[in-house]
Amino acid sequence: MTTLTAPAETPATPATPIEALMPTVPARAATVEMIDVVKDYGNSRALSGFTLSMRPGELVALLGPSGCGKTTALRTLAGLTPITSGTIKVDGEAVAHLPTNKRDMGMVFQSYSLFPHMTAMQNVEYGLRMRKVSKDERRERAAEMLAAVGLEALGHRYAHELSGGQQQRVALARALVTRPSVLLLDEPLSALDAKVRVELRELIRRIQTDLQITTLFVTHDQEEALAMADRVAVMSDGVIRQIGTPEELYSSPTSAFVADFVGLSNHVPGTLEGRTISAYGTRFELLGDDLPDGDVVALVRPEDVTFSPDGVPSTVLTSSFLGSMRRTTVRLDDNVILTIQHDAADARTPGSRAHITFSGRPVSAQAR
Amino acid sequence: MTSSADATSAIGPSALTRTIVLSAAGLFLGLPLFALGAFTVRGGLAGGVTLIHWRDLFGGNLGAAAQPLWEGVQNSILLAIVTVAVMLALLVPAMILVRLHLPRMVRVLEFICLIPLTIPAVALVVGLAPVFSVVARIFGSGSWTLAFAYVIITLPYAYRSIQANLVAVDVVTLTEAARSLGASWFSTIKDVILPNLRRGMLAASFISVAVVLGEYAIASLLSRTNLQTALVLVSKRDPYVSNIVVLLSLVLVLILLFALGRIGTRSRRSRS
Amino acid sequence: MGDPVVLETFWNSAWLSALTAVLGVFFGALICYALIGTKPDGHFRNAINAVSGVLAQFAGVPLAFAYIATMGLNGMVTVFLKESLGIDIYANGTWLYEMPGLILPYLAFQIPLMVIVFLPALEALKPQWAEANATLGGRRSAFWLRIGLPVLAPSLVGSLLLLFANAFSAYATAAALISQGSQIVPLQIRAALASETVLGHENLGGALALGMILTMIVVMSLYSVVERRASRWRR
Repeated sequence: MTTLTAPAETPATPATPIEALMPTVPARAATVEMIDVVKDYGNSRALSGFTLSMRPGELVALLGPSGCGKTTALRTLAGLTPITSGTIKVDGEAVAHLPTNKRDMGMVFQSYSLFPHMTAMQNVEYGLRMRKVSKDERRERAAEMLAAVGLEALGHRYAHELSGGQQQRVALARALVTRPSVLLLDEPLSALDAKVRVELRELIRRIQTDLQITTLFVTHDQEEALAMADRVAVMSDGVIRQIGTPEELYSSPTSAFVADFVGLSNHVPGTLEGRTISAYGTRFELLGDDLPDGDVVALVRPEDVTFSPDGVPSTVLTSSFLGSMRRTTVRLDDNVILTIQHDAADARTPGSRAHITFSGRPVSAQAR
Repeated sequence: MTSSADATSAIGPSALTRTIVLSAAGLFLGLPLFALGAFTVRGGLAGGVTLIHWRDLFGGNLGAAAQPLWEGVQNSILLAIVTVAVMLALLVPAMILVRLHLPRMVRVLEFICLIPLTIPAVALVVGLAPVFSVVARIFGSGSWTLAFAYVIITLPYAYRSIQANLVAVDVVTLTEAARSLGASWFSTIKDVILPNLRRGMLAASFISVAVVLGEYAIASLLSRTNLQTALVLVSKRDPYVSNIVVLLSLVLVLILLFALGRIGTRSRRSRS
Repeated sequence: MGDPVVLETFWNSAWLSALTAVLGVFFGALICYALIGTKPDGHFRNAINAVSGVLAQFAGVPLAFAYIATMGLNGMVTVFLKESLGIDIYANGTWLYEMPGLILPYLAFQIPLMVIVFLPALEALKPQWAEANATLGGRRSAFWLRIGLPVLAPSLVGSLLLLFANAFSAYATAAALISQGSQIVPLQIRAALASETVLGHENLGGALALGMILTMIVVMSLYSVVERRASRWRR
């Protein structure tokens, strides 16, 4: 969403490291506990017993499809949405009864949140103004924060004179300048261009780590979540299905939903007996909860499928060059279609024959 | 998906404030109308409520005092029809033409159509008086000639309605598609463009009718008879009849505008 | 044009328009505020829009009749006040049929016009601004004082100008209520047109009309400048 008059995204001046700017302002990392939070809208339930504990200074990503409740969860923590039942504690103190403006949390919205009649500098100063900080100190701290996000020369500009990425940088500076105990981000990068998104992603992560501020980050983009977070919580239908480090979620998904949502998955038909799945001559160990014996679909990662001369025969359908690697789809003789991620140099022609095999890493599965 | 009720409750008023304000507004704005209605059922010196005046009106049992009223009603209906017809016949082709072939003229057309807003009816009459004496010589001095003036004053409202429709429907792309499929100009306009402009034309017509029915200044200053001038004339002799007709005309316009709103929201909902 | 009578009528028109514009903006904005939170496409809002449209168009003959029925010599409220509370509102003269009597009827169409014109501007207030204000520690009062009103200021000024223009050019209401005298410009034009033979005032009607148009052009130009400012922030 670019405005016609805003300048093209100018490369931001390299942001000054936070510690160099504000060595005397201490970190205020807080613990956050959301216990059994329920939110009903009339007859529909947006959150059903949402439970999450956040350690001081960590960045937790809330990941899930639209309508799963991740934004609702964030807003109940912020106080923008009242809860039906449950407990919310920050540093051990219950806050559910407090209105938003008393909760001392910084928030960055998806878009349109900068006050249009104020300059970037005035926007950033706003929170300090509400806290009755003196004019000179306000000006100084706001200028430092703008420099930290790489916008020290643009403080005099208005929102409509800034590009989308620049606006979000200002929003970030505005949320952080008051040194809140918790930072909340509601899909802050979703409305931006791909390249800007990656730049901003790294800025957010860097500042968050430097400041050691406990952060909750909502997104529907799994790549973003995996790249930024200390831990990722995958949500659906108002609850967290699995929470863990990005590596854990990727390699040990405890349910087919998580395996399918995070990263690509091949659906490989096989047979389950106990905790072992047999498919195409390979044995896989089952991850997650038990399933009844019988026909199942195993979820295998594309990089866990390789070409091997004495493997299962198949026909190549397409082969896409993706710069650092290749993705080739093949159709097995029983019409099952697989995606293989492999070395970029190994080019495959559509229509040619190929033999594939599985690496046998543990997989999650669902009944067929 | 958070409900908008949460978000706007941050800005909006409490239920109590809303009730108080809207009730006070309703009272101030509605009392005159209520008084109007109450007057029409007044039972003369004896007091009490009576439907006699209403019965007189609908039973055809009117005194000679109310005769001008019929003439006024007929004239206004005729005026509304002629105005809408002339307005559509002039405006729609012009707007389509400009939109398709003369994009630089859009600003000019918009300016022309919005000028009448700056000219008060009274001032317009002063300028038009000599024109109308010429018109009277050619077309006679029937009230329907007022339609030419009425087209001018309804222009801004009609233009806005049709313009909103034109923009929303992307006439340019539709025309290109139709032409590339081999349609003639006539067929393109008849089968592709006009059906899509129905909403805008309907809206423009409704608003024009409302304006024409309510117009008093031009008619009175040019000494012609229309609904409003007739009402003023009759009110001096038979206030009951005139007040009843006033109420009825208001209800009619209310229905028109309500229907207009429904057309608008139905189109907005279907597009989402 | 320098005739003291003419100047007086322009002055009358001006203060009447200004007064009803200011009051109309104030009360109309209050009503718009009360309407925040109602569904924009719902039946209630649609009904409000239609009613406002009718009332804004109400100006003229129907409105004059209604006010005569309410506040006239035998009007509902007049009679009620006289009989129940012993107050005779016409003890000092029949003001309804003179200048001051125009204020209430004018408000009756100014306020609905304000609602029609201002409601979209109010909708342009983004909920994110209120939420951002809250997360930054501001109360509701801080929001309106520092964000809401400043952002709405251009629209308020624009509406004020529009309402002024509307009142200034109104003719029918005054014509229907005031049959004797020409206190405001439109009525003066009526008199001028009716009596072509008044010596020395042959082109008075034309001059008055020109004066009106010039005033309107100034007001409407200001309005378009202010509108452009307001729409800049609505993006």
